[in-house]
Amino acid sequence: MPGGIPSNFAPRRLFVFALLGALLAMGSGPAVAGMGAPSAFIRDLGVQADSVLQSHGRNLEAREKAFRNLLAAKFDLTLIGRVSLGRYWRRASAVQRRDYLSLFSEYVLQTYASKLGGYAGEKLIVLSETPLTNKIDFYVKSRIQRPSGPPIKATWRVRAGKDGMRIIDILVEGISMAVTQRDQFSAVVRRHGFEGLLEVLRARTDKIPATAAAK
Amino acid sequence: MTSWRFALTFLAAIVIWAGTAQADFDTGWRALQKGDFAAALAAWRPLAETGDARSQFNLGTMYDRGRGVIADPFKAAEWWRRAAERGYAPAQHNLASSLIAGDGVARDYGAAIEWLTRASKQGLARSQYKLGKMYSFGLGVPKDQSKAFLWFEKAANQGLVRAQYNLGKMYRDGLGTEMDVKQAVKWYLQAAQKGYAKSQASLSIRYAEGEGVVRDMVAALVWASRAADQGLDRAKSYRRKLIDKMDPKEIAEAEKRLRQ
Repeated sequence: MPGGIPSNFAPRRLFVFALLGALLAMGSGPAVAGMGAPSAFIRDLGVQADSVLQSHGRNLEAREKAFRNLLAAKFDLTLIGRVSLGRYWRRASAVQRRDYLSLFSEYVLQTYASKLGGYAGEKLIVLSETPLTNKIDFYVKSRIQRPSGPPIKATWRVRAGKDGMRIIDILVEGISMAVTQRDQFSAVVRRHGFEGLLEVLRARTDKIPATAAAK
Repeated sequence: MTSWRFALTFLAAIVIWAGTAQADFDTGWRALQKGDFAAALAAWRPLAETGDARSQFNLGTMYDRGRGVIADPFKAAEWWRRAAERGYAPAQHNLASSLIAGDGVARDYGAAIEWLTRASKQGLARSQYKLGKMYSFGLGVPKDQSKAFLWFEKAANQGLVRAQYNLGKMYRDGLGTEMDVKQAVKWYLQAAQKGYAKSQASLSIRYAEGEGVVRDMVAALVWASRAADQGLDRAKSYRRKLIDKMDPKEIAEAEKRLRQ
């Protein structure tokens, strides 16, 4: 079944840089007057991320695992996964939804956790915090200054649910991660069907990481 | 005499070069563990360019994951192809994954099957499992449950829990082999003991139904709980069903076993 599938294009790279840069920088970023619980939540996430990344005594695998656990606790991966699937969520069977959410979570966690370290030096500046009309979501706007390259505008969409705060989207330069992901996934589903998308996610999450093994 | 001297000099040069290459590789590996991706890339790139398959593979992973470089699936696939052609099994596996996902290369299940087969024949359990899945679903090959069973079995015998679970299912359903519920339980148990939630849930059902094992509601609740505690939804609902059927003494016994 020949034919390429769009992947790893620029917006996704930007999201990765923004997320990592922000997490690294938040621990040391200045407090901003007038910020509420969503900002505190993001700040706490930054402190924890910084703590994980400063754990030089552990090996890369151990740090990645700790980082994965952190992300899994702070991101609402079920909601992000549903939004990323768009209209195809309603059409999927219960089994397909279950398989998809499991693979999507693994894919997102692996993508972000594998980029541990090597991005030090970024500085996050919190600009504002805005409640949305639904009264449970907030936009925490920020600017990430990097040692090389222009600054990135990143906005965190945080939901205050009954179980506490969770990140439900990241907007980089005004572009939503969930919407970008949805466009990618929709293209795959249109060309290869829902099972084709699951196969793509399985393949992406099944790649062997760097190794010292001779064979 | 001159030719002997030349041969010895040549041999010594190879030994020194190999030692230096290993030292450079190790430098890259230590840098990776520290999260110093730029140093890892600097150590591995020259080795990769002179044909060291392991460094080519690792360079591919750096491009795939965007470590120290902008993520580039095209370059990742290209480095993996170079290592795969040198017979490096992990690169053959990852190249097959790129071919299945269409990452950096045109989607091509047929080519993926070829690379997975080469890696599987070298004994790479993950490739054997993936190949089993490809035969099971008929992706890039005609659907063939017997071949799927054989590849799952090879991977399961190497201890890969996903393969052990799938082998258990094939024995349970008589797919690619004779139906054998005792064998199903044996493989479910192996994966369950290593913490594989799906296997724990399946094992719970076998204990509750007395299929391939003596009926034991306490063991059923223990395994369902272990799977449910890992977040497996179907195990959560099954645990509730079991609790509704069981008396308090049995439930207390299950709780006691879970605490041990």
